[in-house]
Amino acid sequence: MMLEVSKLSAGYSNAVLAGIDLNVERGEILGIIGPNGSGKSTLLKTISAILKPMNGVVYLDGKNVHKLKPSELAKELAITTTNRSDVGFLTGFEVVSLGRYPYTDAFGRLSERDVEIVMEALRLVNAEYLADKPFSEMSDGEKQKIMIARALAQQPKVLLLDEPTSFLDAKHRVEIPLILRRIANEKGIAIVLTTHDIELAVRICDRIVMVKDGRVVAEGYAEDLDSEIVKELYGIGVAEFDPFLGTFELKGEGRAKIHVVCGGGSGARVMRLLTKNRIPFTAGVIHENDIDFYIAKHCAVGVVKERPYEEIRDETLEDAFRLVENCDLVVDTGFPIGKINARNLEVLRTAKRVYSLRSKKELEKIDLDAEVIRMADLLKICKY
Amino acid sequence: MRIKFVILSFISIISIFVGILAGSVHASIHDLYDYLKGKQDVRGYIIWEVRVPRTLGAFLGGACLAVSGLLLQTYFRNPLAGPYVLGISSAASLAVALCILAGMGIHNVGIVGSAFLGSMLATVLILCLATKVRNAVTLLVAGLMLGYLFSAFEKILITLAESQKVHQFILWTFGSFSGITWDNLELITILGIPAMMLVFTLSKPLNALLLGEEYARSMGVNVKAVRMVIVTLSSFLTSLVTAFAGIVAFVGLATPHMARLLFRTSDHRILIPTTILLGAIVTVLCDIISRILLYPVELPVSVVTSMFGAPIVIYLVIKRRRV
Repeated sequence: MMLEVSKLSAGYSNAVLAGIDLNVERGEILGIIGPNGSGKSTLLKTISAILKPMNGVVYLDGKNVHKLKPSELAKELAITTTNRSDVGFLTGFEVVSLGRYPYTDAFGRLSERDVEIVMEALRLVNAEYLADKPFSEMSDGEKQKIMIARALAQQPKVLLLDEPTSFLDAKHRVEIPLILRRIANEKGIAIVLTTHDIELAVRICDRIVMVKDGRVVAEGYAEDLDSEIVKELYGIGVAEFDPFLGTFELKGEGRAKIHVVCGGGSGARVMRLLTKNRIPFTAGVIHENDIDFYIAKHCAVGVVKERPYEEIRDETLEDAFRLVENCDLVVDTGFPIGKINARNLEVLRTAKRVYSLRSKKELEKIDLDAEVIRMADLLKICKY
Repeated sequence: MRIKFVILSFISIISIFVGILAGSVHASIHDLYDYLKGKQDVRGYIIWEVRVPRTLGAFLGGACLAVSGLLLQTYFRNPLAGPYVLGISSAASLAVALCILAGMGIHNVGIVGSAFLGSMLATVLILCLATKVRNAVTLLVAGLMLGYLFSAFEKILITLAESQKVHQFILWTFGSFSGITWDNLELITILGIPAMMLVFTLSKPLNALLLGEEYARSMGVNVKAVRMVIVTLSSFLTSLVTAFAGIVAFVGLATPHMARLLFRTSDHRILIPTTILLGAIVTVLCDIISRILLYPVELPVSVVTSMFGAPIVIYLVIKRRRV
């Protein structure tokens, strides 16, 4: 075990955290997620010995980190915080080379080897081009890369990152997680990061620990994350986390006047558009293994589903007919028609008014009487 | 970079010569040479016994104040920090006020002694606080508050004192290098130069502190120990100058900024020597101006340093130059 946190309690004057147990292996990324103010940052600062623990121990390779000298610990463990420092005229290279602090002589002179390590750290975070740029003139994303490179220059075994992807632009929000994976894989560094972004945590972390009110409420592999736990953690009523999609989906509410017939992913955008605009709808028939089903599960107020890879049965079709009957209009998302979902055409044909996203030619081919619309018109029609 | 250093050193030597030669009595190198050869010469006497120690005192004193300001600006990560933010000046003036206003003596030794004692007491107080506080900001606030506290007591004394003594006291707070003797200079040299040498050993942790105390700690800096050394050295250097020259405003605040702009760096291995040289040059020049601007009246040196320092600080704030 690279890093082991045992029964840790920490805080400033009052304990913010109590009885925290964690462990991280070499090359593993552990995500600590929880709402803002749940004690995530305090936890990282205590693990890194910036704060003293009130109780409990943190072991790094079997050594108690709070008993190590700062200069010894700095060679084993590095941290980036959310603190955006104003470092004056220092360039990217100079900031990263500060990470060599525990290795350089009394005046901080860099040896050839130090320069190599600094350049390697810059390479690992795709930031060689920032070496001569003044740190104060960099964007948040660039600064974050430089601060990660600075931490790497300490040649640590464990890297702690507090909110590494907050306040970043789209490019860096994608790039930095990839960089972290590379650091874990190439260098075998154990990474512990905090975030309040579950979608991101699921994408990059191996394991996830959820913290709420200073306690670990759940932990496990990112892939095992349960939507009920997320609901409890964040207490969001209007959206639900889908562990399969790895995203939050808004929840539809109300009495549906619209029915959506979809499948094969063709309904995803339609359903999200309607939900976003608070237009309640029902959906079906959708197969349970269809991506549209995962979205409809949250967005639609009612779904008619069929077992995976089976042709639509009579009972299922009856259910769909009943939903269509209660609706004012039906939307055909232009789903691909194959053997197992062919009977969805029957659903469309029972409807009084059908709006279709298919082309006229296609509609003629399947012999469906519907009005052709584009995605952009959908909202106008559905709001009527 | 090396060229800039050579130029700076050259300017600093020139400034000393100008400082020695400029003033109400016309004098030349010849007069000084004659006096040192043993010839009875009033002009030579003035130069050797008054102007040389005064100019060298301004030179060393300016260097001490500037480097003290640099230390505190970096440690507090605040561009407006200066040598007096921790209450050193207020403590020194309170002690001097006690000395002058309470009539404990008005001779030079008394003032120098009480100013030094007062500021060292304040330093000890600040150091006690420094071991307790969690971070730099808390210490900064505590220091500022201590300053107000000392000033309050000083104002009580002023309220109760005779007006003639008050005038004498007020003049002291304006600061001046005019009273510095060879004996004073010897003390400043013996105590100030080693202290400045010690500041050089702080360049590495000071650079790390640019990222803040938390990052510095995580990179292996013993933050508490470094904090104590910074507070001790900066307070000591300030106390030393304040004891002999009173409160000299702005030099410690403005020159570190000039040093940063001159080399466009925040690396303390460069900033420390540059700040020392610039502080010395600027203070000697201000001292010269204070002598000749309203000749034959001599202005307090703080008047001149403020006149040049304040516009620089305003300029820096507007341009948002970095620490």
